[in-house]
Amino acid sequence: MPSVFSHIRRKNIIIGILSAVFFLSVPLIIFYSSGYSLRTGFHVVKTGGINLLFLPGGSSVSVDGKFYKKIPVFSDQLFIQGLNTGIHTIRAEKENYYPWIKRLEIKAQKVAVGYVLLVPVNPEIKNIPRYIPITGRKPGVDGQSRQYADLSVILQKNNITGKIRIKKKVVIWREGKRIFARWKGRKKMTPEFLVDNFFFKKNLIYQAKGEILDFDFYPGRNDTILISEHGHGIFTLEMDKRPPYQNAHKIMVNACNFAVINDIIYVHENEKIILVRLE
Amino acid sequence: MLQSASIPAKKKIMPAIDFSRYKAGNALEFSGRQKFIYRALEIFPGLLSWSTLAVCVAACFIAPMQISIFIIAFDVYWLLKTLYLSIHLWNNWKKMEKNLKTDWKLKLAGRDYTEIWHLVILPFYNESGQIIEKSLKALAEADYDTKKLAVVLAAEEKAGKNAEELASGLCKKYKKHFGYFLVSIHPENLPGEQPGKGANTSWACSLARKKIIEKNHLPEKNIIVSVFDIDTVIYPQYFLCLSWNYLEQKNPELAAYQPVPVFNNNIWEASAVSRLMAYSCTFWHMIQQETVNRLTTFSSHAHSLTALKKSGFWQKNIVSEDSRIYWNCFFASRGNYYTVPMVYPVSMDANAGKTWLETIINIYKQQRRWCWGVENIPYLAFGFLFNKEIPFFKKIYVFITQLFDFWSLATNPLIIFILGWMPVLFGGTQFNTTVLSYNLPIVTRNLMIITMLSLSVCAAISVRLMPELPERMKKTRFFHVIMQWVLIPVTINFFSALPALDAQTRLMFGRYMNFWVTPKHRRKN
Repeated sequence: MPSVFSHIRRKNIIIGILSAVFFLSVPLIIFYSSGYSLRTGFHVVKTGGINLLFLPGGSSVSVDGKFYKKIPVFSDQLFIQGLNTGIHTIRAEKENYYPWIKRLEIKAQKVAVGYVLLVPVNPEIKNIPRYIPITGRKPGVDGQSRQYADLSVILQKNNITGKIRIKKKVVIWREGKRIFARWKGRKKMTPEFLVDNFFFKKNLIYQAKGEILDFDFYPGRNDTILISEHGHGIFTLEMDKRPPYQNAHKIMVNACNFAVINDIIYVHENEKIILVRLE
Repeated sequence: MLQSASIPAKKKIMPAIDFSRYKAGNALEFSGRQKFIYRALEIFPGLLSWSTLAVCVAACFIAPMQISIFIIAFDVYWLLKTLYLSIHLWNNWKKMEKNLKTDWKLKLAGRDYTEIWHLVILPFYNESGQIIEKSLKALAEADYDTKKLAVVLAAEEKAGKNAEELASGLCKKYKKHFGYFLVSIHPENLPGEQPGKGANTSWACSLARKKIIEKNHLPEKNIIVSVFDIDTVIYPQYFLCLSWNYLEQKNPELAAYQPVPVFNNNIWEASAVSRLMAYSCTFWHMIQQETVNRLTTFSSHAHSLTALKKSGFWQKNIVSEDSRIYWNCFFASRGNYYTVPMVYPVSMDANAGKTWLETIINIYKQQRRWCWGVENIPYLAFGFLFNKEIPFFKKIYVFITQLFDFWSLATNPLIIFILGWMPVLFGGTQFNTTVLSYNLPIVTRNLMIITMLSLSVCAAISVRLMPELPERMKKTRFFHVIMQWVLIPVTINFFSALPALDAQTRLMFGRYMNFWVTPKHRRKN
């Protein structure tokens, strides 16, 4: 085998180079992946990260007042790493939406989760007509819109007394002027927007001043609720009580009954049924 | 201790004292302590693979941090290994291109190769005349003095009268092209045999020795025996290339000669999965040809008759006779046997069933049969335990490299593509709030993308290796050939890792496999 020895030598050189790459790159990748960062002066520090959920495509994120990134259209979350430990102010915004601001505490090698709530300034609002226009009616039909009739039944049945809502293991209910939430899942799986309340097994989400007329989960979310309160209209409220405040935004001026069906809000105001889309 | 070779086959023979005739098949051939040892060695590969997977899965629950670090390191290893193999593949491709352009007759000028006889054994079972004829035609048209070829068409009695008649018909048609042409019929149900290619080939070879070699006084030391799967179509200068490689060796009888199996015969008719598996297999063997000290024999290959005679010819009691004959010769030559990479192709059939589903099932079964080569692990380990003639470090090297190959085949793809994501799913809240848990899928995904990019080497070579596109097919088929490589994460798990794990599990539980003949279908042109 005359060529075998030169072949083996070449093979050993390649193996040597690749082994060197392996032993150099693996520790670097592992350190970086575990949250270690290199700071000026070659100081290695333990950092943490933030994971922002429910970010609408095209929104922008800034950290401590500095622009960080614009979210691609088809993305809905953002993971930021390499943040120094301590409190960081996160701001998410998008044109024609109310901004979302939260101060999150970053611990070494840990990730804090932010449940971004961007509510449109001018949500799509549409009246559900009560009657079909005369030109579209079939002979002999009384002219009442089927959709209106169905929604009307649902909204009239929607009684706030004893109302409990459950979504993805989060339970919300009302006690007088207060709204509470509880985590139904395993204790250690409690999401960060709910504080694990060992003694009372319930979290006070909202203390109303006026009478609460209705409440439900925000469409598609279990961390945000919709409340209809006398004197305050219908508004969104995040459960997350971390500072600086609970983000809340008014979507209807008048308080009244509503129902969330297939991620669309239907509001029963006087005799009218109004469709509200918060996308 | 080891039993004598003179005990009849039914009384569990183990001729291990004479390592030139070390032909152990499985643990059932032993008794007492030897049976226990052999059985333990049969369990070992499967146990090792399952333990690896079990430890990884358990670690996802118990120690997600540690397993995540391991997975990242393993991903980097996999990336570098792919790069390393791609370098070998590219080198081998360049060599093969050069070898295909080489005029081997010119290269052999001045060498006395006219004395070399080539005994070609073509074992078959129920394959069609179309397939056999194509192989015979290629032999008859070989760029070599075909009168120096002795061809044995080895039929099975079990296949019935049709097979015998087919062989006789082909004999009549083709015998004039060759020095000798013999049809052998391997009798059914011979004692101590497992039906399959090994028993048939061995029978054909002994018949050829009697009826061709001894009868015509052909010099045994000048005979090279090529055993071809029946669908093997040689390239014109195969015998010239083989003769050159044979003459290049200091001790040609201490070497096996391995061409590169290229599954080109029906590649345009094969489905994407079938093409992918065919090329994966070809590329694996091209890479193996670059790692000479690990190369063994596979499918169609050649040995000197002297080496075969010394080792007692092919084993009749096993499935993977193609690789086992190498190890038989290895023990018979006290560990001095090696395989010469010919870096010259032979064309074979890609797996193509009548329907897509049949093809998929056939691919799985064929891969499992190939992975059943794991039966060589207990054979090697047992032989190494009792053989004092092979140097200790050589035994260790051979055993570890062989074991590692089977272990990595069964476990590595699963670790990479499936277990890699498990810590995030099962690591628990504590782990899922760490930076590492967020980075694990990102790092794994990015490393896999880079790894997949190195497959572009495979895609490029596969296009160059393909035969001319039939006129009835559109040029866009080339695009499919390139794009098929994105299926690698699927095929590597379902048609490599799972069959390997299946074969190892069967061996672990003593459910010994029988020889499964891959059905061959070709479109009539």
